[in-house]
Amino acid sequence: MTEEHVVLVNTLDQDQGTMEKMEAHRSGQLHRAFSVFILNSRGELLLQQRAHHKYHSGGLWTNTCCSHPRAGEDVVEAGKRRLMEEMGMKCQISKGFDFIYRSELDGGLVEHEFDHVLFGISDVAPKPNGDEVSDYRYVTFNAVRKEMAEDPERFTTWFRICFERAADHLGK
Amino acid sequence: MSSVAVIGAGVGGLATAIRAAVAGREVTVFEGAPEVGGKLRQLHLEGYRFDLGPSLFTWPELLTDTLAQAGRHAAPFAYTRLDRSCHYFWPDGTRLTAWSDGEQLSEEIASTFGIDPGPAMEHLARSAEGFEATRGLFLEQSLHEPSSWAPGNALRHLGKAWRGRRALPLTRRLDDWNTRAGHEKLRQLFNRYATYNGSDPYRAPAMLHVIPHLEFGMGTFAPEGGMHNIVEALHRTALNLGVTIHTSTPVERILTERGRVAGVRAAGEDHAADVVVSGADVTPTYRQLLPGHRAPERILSAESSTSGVIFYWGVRHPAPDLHLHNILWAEDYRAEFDALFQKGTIAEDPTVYINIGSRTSPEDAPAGAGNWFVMVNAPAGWETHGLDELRSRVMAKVQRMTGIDVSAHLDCEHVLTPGDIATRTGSHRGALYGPASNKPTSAFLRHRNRDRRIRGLYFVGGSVHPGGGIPLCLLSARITSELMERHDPI
Repeated sequence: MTEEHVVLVNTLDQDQGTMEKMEAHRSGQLHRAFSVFILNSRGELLLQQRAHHKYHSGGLWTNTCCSHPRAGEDVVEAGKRRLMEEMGMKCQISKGFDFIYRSELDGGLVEHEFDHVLFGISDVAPKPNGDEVSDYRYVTFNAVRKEMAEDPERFTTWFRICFERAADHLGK
Repeated sequence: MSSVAVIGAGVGGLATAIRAAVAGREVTVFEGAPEVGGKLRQLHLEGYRFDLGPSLFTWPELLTDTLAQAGRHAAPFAYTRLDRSCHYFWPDGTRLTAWSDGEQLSEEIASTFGIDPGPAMEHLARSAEGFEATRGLFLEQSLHEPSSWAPGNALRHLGKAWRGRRALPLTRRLDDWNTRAGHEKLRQLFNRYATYNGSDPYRAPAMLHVIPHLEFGMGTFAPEGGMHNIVEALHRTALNLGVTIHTSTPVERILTERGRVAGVRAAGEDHAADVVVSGADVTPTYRQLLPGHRAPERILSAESSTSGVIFYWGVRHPAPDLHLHNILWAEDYRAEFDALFQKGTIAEDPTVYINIGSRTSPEDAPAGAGNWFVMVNAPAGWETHGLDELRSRVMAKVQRMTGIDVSAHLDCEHVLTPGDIATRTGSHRGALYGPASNKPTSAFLRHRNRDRRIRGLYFVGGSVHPGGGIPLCLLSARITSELMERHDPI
């Protein structure tokens, strides 16, 4: 795999150059990211379990997919690209809101992201990429809420941060 | 030199505790109140949550940088940028939304006032230029250490300030300078930034024109879960680092021995410490904690910044016209400051600030309701009489300007007066930002971060350099920590 770069940004999401992905996560530099939430027509949220060997948060449950746009790449386009690469899905998505967070991860890494939250509706069955995703399931927002209250450690940090806001955005 | 006693668990105290612990010191924080947070505490009342103090979050990097010092011990922190900084309401019915996006703002100014927005946007550009020219000199280092005035450093900063003089003339008054905004209402809007450190725009120096850049240029933000999560993140990080925090433990004395601090006496017990950092207001620190020591009288007698009367209202009304930050202007803005600073009273028709935190943290109020933080400026030390009359006047103004009859929709109320603020936070006469910045020399009349006479004694927080408010408190913690490493190394 070629070396991947993330786009560094300031707190107004203005470009500040690029940095190798692992270096950005070691040094904790603020960079641009996105989180995709796909719902089916019954209003259930598609969750993925991250592959166990991912560079951080392996084995944790999270929203449908997340990643970083490349330099010059539009976040919605990047979201569509990753949705195909991770979940084998093609779907219209649109921007809902954004937020910034900083959180220490496992293994001495730091997540410090300007995160664009993207939404889409699809009933297409996912064909997950085993290199990225170990499992998936559809759940209601209330079920997620209950699981998160009982065992928050099963979920990724950013998903825990933006879940309620996403629910609010969708009127769930 | 490894143990540090910090007085006060406000933003300045907690941030200093974090930095000192990261440097390898053993840190104990003594807080007189039952909970941490200083002015940034919270209140739960009948299904509503209120942030009691600061409601505006700018320059967020200062907070995340402070947390990042703690490495793997840092607590997570999340926040959102806002698409607008404030909604302004004038008594004549004019309304303006201060959009964060420059183009949107420019169009809003043009359509609201029917003017060319060019001069207003240029005025904002001067704010940015002035901020960049002076931040190193006035905000990010001590003003009182010889090293700050060593030739290389001083020339660099003064050179910048000199080159920035067209953007920010040090000799002009703010109100005169703001005529350049191109419209009387915009002049007033820019004047209001003097109140961000409790000053009088009609006397304050043009230097304060750097403040708008914080909002318009660097952005306004809202912490996820409300302002109190700033304190939560600092508190958790401090605890993760092994900082000991004693609440309900007011410090009664700073102990000294042969010109050097020896520790503190808190709740009747002596605690030895090599370094003492007072995050308490500088006036009570000298008057109450250091009896028998010579106090810096010239600084302690400086004019106070404003205080406020704050009504916390649970309002069961959707109030669609009101957003997170709203300003309901006084009929006569100049008269308001004459009342505050000359007559020592609250204006007949005061400017009313309404902050509704539940706009960005919906969980803080029942559905369809709002947790209103309603503040009018009051002189520091204002004696509370006629609170009911003031409440009626404020409610009448809200109804006049927004159409909402708050009294008919009021679920609950809590009030803080200047006296309450003084009692609860130890701030001298309830002043919210320490001394006012009403003179060109005011910056130099703020107390230094390292004591001149008592070795090992340091100061942080809103009453000392560089000033009040969350960003400046975090900067004071950074400056103080740097001074501590230099003058009292481990």
